[in-house]
Amino acid sequence: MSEHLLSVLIFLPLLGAVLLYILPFFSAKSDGHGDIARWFAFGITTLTFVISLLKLLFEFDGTNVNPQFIEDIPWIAQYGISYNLGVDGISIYLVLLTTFLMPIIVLASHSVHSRVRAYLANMLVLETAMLGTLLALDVFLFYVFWELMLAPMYFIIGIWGGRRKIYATLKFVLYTVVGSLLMLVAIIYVVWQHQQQTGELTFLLSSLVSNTTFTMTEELWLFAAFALAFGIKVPIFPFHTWLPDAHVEAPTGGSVVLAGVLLKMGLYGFIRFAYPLFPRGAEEFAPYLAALAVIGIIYGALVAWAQEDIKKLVAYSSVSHLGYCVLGFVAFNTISATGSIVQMINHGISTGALFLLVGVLYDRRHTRAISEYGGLASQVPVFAFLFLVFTLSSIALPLTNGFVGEFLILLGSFERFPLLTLAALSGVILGAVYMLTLYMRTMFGEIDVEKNGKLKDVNAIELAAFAPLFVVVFWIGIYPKPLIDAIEPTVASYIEQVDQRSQRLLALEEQALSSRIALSYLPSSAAGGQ
Amino acid sequence: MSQLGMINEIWLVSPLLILTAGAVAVLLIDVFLQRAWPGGLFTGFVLVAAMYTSNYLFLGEKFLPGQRIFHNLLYADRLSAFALGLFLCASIFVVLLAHEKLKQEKVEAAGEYYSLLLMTTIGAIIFASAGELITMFLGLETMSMALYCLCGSALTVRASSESALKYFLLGSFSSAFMLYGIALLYGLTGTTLIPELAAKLAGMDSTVLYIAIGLVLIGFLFKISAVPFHFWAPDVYQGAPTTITAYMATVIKASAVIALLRFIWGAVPGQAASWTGAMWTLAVITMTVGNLIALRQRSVKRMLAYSSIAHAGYMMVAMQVDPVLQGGGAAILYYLVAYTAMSLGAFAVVLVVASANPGEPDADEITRFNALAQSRPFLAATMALFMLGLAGIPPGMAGLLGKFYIFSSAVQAGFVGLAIIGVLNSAISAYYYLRVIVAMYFIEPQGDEVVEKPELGVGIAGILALCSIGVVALGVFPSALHDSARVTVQSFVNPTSLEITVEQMKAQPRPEFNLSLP
Repeated sequence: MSEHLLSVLIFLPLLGAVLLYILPFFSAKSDGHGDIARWFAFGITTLTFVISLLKLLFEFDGTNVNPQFIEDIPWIAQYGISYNLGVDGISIYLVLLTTFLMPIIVLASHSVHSRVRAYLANMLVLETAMLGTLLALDVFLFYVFWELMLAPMYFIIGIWGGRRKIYATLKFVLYTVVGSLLMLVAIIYVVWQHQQQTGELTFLLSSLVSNTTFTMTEELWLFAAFALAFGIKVPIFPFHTWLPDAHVEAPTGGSVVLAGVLLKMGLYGFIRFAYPLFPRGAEEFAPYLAALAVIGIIYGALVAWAQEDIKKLVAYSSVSHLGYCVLGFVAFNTISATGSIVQMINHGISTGALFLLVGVLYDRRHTRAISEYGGLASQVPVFAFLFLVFTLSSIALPLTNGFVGEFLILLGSFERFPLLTLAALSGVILGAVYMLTLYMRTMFGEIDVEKNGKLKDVNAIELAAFAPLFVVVFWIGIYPKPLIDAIEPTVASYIEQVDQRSQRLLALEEQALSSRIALSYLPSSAAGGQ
Repeated sequence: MSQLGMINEIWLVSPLLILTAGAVAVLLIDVFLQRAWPGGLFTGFVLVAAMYTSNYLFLGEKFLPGQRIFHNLLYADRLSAFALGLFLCASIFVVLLAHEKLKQEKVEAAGEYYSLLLMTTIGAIIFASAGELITMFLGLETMSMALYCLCGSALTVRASSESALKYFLLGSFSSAFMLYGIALLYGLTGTTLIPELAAKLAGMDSTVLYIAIGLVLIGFLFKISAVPFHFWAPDVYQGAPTTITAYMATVIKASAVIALLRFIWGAVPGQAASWTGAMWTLAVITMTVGNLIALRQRSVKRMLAYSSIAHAGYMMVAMQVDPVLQGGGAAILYYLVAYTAMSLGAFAVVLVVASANPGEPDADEITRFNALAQSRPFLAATMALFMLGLAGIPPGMAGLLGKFYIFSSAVQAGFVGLAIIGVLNSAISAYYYLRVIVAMYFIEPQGDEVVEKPELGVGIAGILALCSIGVVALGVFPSALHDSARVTVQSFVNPTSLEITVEQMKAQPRPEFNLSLP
């Protein structure tokens, strides 16, 4: 298994999805409430997590900065497309985050009552697509997995979503499709440039990065095409409008997977593809991206503050938090970029947990309006305690996971963008304001809505879903060393490589320019000699 | 090239002969039997027999690069073999559809229907493998005449008769344009043979020549329903029986595309500079108009008609590209196969859904698809796959790969702007394809309203399963089809470059097949 470990990880959930569809004992007749299907899906996702933990994380060499567990099989040989997988320090914890969240999401599926089997199958296909996106090192393979993430999410929001689900899901898909199709043209352009320069047709990322050269104009346009696709996914202000709609309408599991993993794919795309391929284009765009990120931080926080719907509040807080990740990465030094990756994982944990908590409330009361709640702390103490922990983790209190990432980001970014970072700091304060206001309004005071007097506390299954998240919040908050140790060396060497490529491209262009100048002087100097 | 001898040449057209015999036999049996009989199955058998013969010839490597037969009137090269295989496969599927659903289509005369279907297939094959322009025209007319009748074969349905008349009038008009163009070309060069035309036209530059090329192109563009020659398509597609619509969108379109390729790459490649400009504009207009109007359709059948216009536009993108060096030819052939699988499947679903309310004018409205996922999960799942495929979104992988091949050939040839317009169009099209999925999956059944459950027969279920497998498998393993498409295009455009390849292929052991008869 070890030589095909990554393939096993990717396709195990897909196999589960297929089995869910074809095996007779999951049919509606023998499995009316979908309980067998739920336990089966839980088994599959847990198995995937256990494999990724034991085989991937424990055997991962943190000092090696190159991709590991590589698999390389020719796929479309005529076009130099291969099935090329690998994992490095940048992607390993994102993979772990994905496999870790999936069993929790399956546990949370107890609030789904109709077409349970199809819901679980879509979740499993989504897991396959997400893992494939994180592990693919061939640009075309990446694109296929990237697009494969669309269809399952489209169904999850569209079938099990809320009142405006159709609007939300179409908006989500159309936004994403526009961006990613333009990226496809850019990918093809890069590959043909590579073929013209080297004579070899390949979609392998490492060859494209090390051998292709672009002029500045090309880099700007190509980076813009990639940045549009990834920026929509993150989402970076002003491309964020699909996100609140999608979050609010999605079922709980859908929101968790959206906030937990899908949004990270955008930034992951910047890290893995856009920056290494077009370092100078990226350099040129960095201040603007940073500015948009900071606008997103403050705007997201202000809008979150004004929300009356808990889920919408958490959704806008996502826009705000992802702004930090983007800011940290585009500041582009080892500290801030490491912080950015750590923060991606933290955001997956804490926002995922907050969406689960909102789901718990919604299951019981079928409303998400803040005004419908109040004084819950006395009625549901365990729930209130969990809510407090994840709220604090979300506003980055020291000793919780959120602090580690945000601190590294702000520390690193200040060096590059001092003013923007100062502005971003105000987002930290605003974050505390709106989250604590939310907590105060829902948990403290008297129970003023009669129905809340009969509210039940979290049950065993919900507790089982929150327990691992709870542990991770404090593990990363108190002892983040293993996490940072695995990420930092890769990030350091990654930044060095991108900078080197940037300098090489610059040198090549100057060389070309000077030779052109020399040529233009040649006739006159020859004339002078006569 | 005609050293083959009469007998061998007849062997090479044996699929056509079997089809002709079948067409006559179906008619005769129908006349003498005077009662209902499974004509569909018989037609199916004839098609399978023709398929078997053509495959036998194909595997025996009798379709050599650049080979022409009957005094150079027909090509018997790999492109012909490709067309034969594709058309016969698609026809078999259409016959199966007709066999199960002809009653709901209100077609009474089953014998004539099947006989005409076979004749249309014969015409399509001749159209796509003609080595000379008059033969090409004859193929076109054989195909079209039979098709006009088929469009009107639902005698009691007014829309069907209307579509037949519309198609006939406009079709004759466009054929006349084409014929005029052929006459001018003959006047300029004294020949109508395709490669000879190219040789004589080399370096020629005259206004008459450009008018001639333009006139011939109009005839072709009408058949592939390119804008601005598309006005017939939506009405005819919607009015004709759905089995025939499926047939038009796949076989007829593919046949016209292949014949067009033979003309532009075989007869007038030297004048490429003059027609690629027009093609660029037409491709952009075709994609955009097709997609934009499709957005507003309420009838799924009509929406698929406009989408088929848009797909013709995508293929026209790759027609401006060098067929061999930049992969334009292989891209188009791959796209044809992928599009055939997806749209055949989609029309089959429309047929089944519409058959729940036979004869009602709004039987194929998008609202009829509401909550199909609950009444017919299999039908809905396959339709969702075809829609995603047409939009180019995985898991509809064949559609994604088809677009990838087309746009990568365009980028390679320097048409980056065209590729960008193409992908933006593709994004527009995602909206109306996804709307069908919205209806099938996201809209809950209203109250206790009784939903008619459409009948799904074994044959149609089989077709849908095969098309679905095709849509996924062709995309996951695209190399086999794409590689063979590459060789196929080369065998027509640049036959001499292939001789070594064929020699190498011949060296491999394969079942012996001796053509010399006792």
